[in-house]
Amino acid sequence: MRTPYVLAGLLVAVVALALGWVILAGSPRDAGAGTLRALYAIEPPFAFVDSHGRVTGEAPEVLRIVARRAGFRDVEFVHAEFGQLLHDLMNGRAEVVASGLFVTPERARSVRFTRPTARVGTGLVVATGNPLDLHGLDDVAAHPEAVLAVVDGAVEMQQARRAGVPPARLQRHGDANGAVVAVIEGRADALALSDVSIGYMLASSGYTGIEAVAAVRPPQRDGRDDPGWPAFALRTDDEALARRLDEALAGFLGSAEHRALVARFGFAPHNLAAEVRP
Amino acid sequence: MNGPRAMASGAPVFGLALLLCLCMGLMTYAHVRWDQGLAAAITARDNLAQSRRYAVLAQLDTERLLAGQTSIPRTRVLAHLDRALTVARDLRKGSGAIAGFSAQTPIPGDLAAAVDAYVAALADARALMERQLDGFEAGGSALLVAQRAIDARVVAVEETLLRHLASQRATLKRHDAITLGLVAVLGLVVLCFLYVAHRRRDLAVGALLASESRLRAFADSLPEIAFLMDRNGRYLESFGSASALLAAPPDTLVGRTLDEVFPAETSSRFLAVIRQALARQRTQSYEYALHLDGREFFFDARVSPVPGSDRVVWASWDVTARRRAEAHARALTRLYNFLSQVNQTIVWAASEDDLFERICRVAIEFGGYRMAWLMRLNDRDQPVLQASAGGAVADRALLSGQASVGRTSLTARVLRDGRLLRLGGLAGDDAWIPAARAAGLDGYVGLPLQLDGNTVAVLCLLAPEVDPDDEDEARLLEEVIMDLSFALRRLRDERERASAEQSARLLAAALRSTRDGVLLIDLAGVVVSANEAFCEQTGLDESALVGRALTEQAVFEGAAALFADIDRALRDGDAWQGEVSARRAGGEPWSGWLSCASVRDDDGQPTHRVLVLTDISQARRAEAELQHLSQYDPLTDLPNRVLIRARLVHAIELAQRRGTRVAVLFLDLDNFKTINDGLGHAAGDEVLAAVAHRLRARLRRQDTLGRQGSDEFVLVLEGVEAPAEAAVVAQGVFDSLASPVRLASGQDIYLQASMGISLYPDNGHDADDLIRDADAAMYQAKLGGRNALRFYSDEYTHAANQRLSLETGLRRALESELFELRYQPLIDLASDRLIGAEVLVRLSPAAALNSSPAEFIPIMEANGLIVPLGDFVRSQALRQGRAWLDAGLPPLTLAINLSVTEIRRGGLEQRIAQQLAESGYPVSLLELEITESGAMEQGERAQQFLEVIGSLGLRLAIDDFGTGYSSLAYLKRLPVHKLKIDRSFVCDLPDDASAVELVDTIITLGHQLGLSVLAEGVENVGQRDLLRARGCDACQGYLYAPALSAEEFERRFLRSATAG
Repeated sequence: MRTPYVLAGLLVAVVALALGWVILAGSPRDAGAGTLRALYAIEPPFAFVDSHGRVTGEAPEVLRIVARRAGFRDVEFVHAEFGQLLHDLMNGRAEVVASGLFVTPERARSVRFTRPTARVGTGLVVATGNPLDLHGLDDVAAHPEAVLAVVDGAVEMQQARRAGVPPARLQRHGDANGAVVAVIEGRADALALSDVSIGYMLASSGYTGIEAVAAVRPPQRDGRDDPGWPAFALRTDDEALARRLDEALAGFLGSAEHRALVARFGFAPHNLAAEVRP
Repeated sequence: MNGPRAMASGAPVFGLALLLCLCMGLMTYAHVRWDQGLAAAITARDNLAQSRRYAVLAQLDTERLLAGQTSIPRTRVLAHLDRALTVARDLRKGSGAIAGFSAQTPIPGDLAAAVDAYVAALADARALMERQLDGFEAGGSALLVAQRAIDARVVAVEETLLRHLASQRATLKRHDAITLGLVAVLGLVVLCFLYVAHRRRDLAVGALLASESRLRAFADSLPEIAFLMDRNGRYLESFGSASALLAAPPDTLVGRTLDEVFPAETSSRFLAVIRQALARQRTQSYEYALHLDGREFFFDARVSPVPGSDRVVWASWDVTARRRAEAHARALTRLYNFLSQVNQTIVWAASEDDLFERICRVAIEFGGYRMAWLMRLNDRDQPVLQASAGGAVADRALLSGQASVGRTSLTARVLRDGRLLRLGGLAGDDAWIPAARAAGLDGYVGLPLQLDGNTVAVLCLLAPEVDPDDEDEARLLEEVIMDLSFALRRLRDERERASAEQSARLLAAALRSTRDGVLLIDLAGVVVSANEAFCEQTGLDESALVGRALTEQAVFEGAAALFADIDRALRDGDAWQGEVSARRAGGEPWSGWLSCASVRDDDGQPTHRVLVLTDISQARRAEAELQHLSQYDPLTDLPNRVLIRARLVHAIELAQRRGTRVAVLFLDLDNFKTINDGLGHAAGDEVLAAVAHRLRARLRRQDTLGRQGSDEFVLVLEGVEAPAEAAVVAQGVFDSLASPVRLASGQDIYLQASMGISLYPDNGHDADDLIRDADAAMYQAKLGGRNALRFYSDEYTHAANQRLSLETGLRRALESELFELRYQPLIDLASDRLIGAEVLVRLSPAAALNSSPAEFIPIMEANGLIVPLGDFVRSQALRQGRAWLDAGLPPLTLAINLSVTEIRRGGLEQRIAQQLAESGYPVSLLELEITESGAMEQGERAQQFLEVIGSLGLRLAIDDFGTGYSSLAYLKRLPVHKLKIDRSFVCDLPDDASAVELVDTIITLGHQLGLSVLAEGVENVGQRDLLRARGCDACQGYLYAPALSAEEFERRFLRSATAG
């Protein structure tokens, strides 16, 4: 008496489970095609397009090697404005952001960072001779008229705020070039930017009338140095991919190949994030 | 639950399930289609939007660059365009993802064409912008144219896209309608299915109800009782008509549980059965008993689980009547079995004890009793436990204690009544009752066992239960009693028979083996039987005796008179006995003691006579020997003192009548004691026998020779005319003793004797006087110098009296220390120097006893006074010796005499050691003198004494050497240092050649033994010179000095020596 019901119930349940799986599993953007879509914003030396139209820089080059090691055939780089990077990532328009994006607690709440690929400090660019004698963000804050140029959305902006630079004296720019030009033209008294960006820019662009401040006092956060930790960013629900990349990164970062790869982008050995982020 | 029905009901279910699956599949399909459509639409729109946005950004940057804004990198422009292109290509491929939507579906052809056109426009624009940026081409118009182219393419793409979306939506609508229809069909099918099922159930329930009411009616009509219960024993329903068998009224029973109705133990057993039935899902059979209204009911129950529930149906049948019948049948069977086993046991039992043991065991094994014991009356009519079996109260003390056998006990009651006693409940004071109750034994059966109409034993049986009203059981037990009583009688008879046989056998054996002759004769005197001893005594065969009259046999002397006498005695009384003379077949006479008694039959009439004949010849001979022994000396076979006296009395009477004389010769061997001591008593006996033999040879017929004492003989001479005749006989005796007696050892003994003669009527008138006088005369002869004959005179009586007064005086003298010491010097012959002094004792003149040592020493030895005298002498002498030493006088050896009597008394060695210690006199200066015969005395005391003397370091001199017998071997072993030649040898020197020879021999002998030799009694120079010439070491005697007082000795010898 009971058996047919049990069998029928089992049949229904199995079918319901299968169909439910079909519905719920959906079809997430399949990386199986072997091509990883990566977002970048032009942010030398972390990411930029060279004269041949090839997307390069520390992040794309590292990602290329790491993605290959993680089993991807190719990486397709898609440009986005710096401010749109995270938005596009989270909307699923790409799988990863490879643009020297620093790890910050705010960002870490919405995206999943891989392990950092470098350790980046803060540098200052001033007019030649450093007329205002600025040696750190606190100096900028202390000077009543010093205007600080920053790239909009970059970590230096938050660092400057924390150092006490009033918003009125913070000059925001869409990219580093604009900010440098502002210093050269005297619209701003200093530019706060990562040390690698400054090094790369001064070495590659041939700007005159400006100089990098040597030995900038590192900005403090909660009483400690607050270096930047550039890393690849992924969607938080893409944990499997993040792990694959992390594993590949662990085998690559700090190696001689890595050092050679990133040296041409102005990354000194101390910038190589061999150490684990605190 | 059979297969086909399952399949039949399964088909619609499976159909329903398939329908359900189909619906779900359709819904899923619709969802997937919707999802895909939505994703395609959204991603397409997004791709298009992105593409347009970045195309516009590129255009803006380009324009800024062209307007001269140098801060904008060229590469950014191209990067913007690249992105616009990439996204446009995604649109073309139908791929894209945004906000969880992801599409990967090829796009329809018209849309593809529109997108291709758009991509181409973008590519154109990129090329244009590249060129412009490189500065190859200028002018915004071209850019504008490109821009417009892009816009137009975008609009076209958008329109196509929207159209496409609309068509997709229409398709989905159709899908949904179909799905709705299917769900409706499904619902209808389900409703139909439910209706059919409901209909069927109603029909089934109706059938079930009908069936149930039928079953209930059926169950209610059951003659027995049944219940429906749940697993906790709660009554859910009760069935059946026999409500009397219910533990409670049926209307109150339902709803209660078992433990409310029954005691805990019962209800837990019932619950266990219920649970077992439920656990096994099988019907359980169960038998139980219940007490209802005071009666016990037995039930058979079947407990069946109700399938698919935790309930059981409990149906019970009242089987009480059947059970009772079965139990009764079993009990009877058991008792029959018991009876049968009892009978077997009776057959097998060899004795009463065996029977009782077996019966007790059989009662336990076959009778079904738990405890059995048997009490039997003993000789004092008290019940005693004979056997028991079964463990419940198998305690001897309990069963045989006073409380269990006393007057009020059950055992006593059965013994008294002699009837079978059965008790359903134990009551009484018997000690075993509490133990039996504790073991659950409440039933008692007492079987009285009878012998000759008396109850002699009780078989007690205990069982858990005994029904006193069960007549069948009573009948069977009565049979057991009869059988056992019969067995007792049989065993008693057998025992008595066996005992009678045994006693007959014993009597026969006793008759055969007795040393007395036993003869059975009938009243006519004809022999019926005779035992072996009688045949041996008389020397006749039993065959020659039996069947013939005893008077015909030449057994007893004077048989006719004897048997007449016996006849007479037996007629008057029962027995006759007396001594008879008989003669053996060989003619040898013998004495017998004959006892004769009548043998009577049970009526007391004499039928036979039994003669017991004891051979008393041996006893007669022993009597005669005893007679002889009492009158004769066994050693010499001479008349002893008693017979001598009798003969003497007889002789005196004869002499009185005839007027003749009777002479009594009293003979005593000289030095016989020396022979006895020196050579042993065997030699002494030999000498005595030889003397007796020689004397007997001298006798005349009328003379009597007897042995008076140890070495004393008495001759009674009758018909003596004159004393001289007696002297002649005496001389003959001397002559007969002259030749030496040769002992068995080959040694020759020279004998001497002293003789005294008394005469009747000259010296006395009765026998005792004569013997005493002869003895006195003999003593005088000894005093006079041995080997002599004296006739009795009255003076001898006087001498004896004198001796008595001397003894008294000596005793007093000793008490008053009226003895004095004398010292006679001992002179070394070689140097004529003083070497010592012999200590001698004299009576003090104050004692007023004129007696020399030769006289008083023997007397004192005889009465023991010698011991204190010896102590006195030694202590005096040692004190004197010490005084001389203390006075600075030269040391000298003191020689002190010891008496053999002192040694025999014992303790002398300790006394000497003590006296030495007290006086402080050096041991080495003390010399003890002992006579040769004393030294030779071989007793334990003497031996011990001499050893101690040696170990003390004292020196020993043998006094009077040559007068006794010395065993040289023994002498050698003694601690002797010196021999003293007896004065009797010295006094004959130097003229008597034999004396010289003798002295010479002694000196040589002494030297050969390593002893020094001293001569006593040297009185003249001639003697001294001879002794010196012969090598004698020392001497003493009147030549030098007599015995001197201490002062005199000191003055003459010690002082002069010091002076000298």
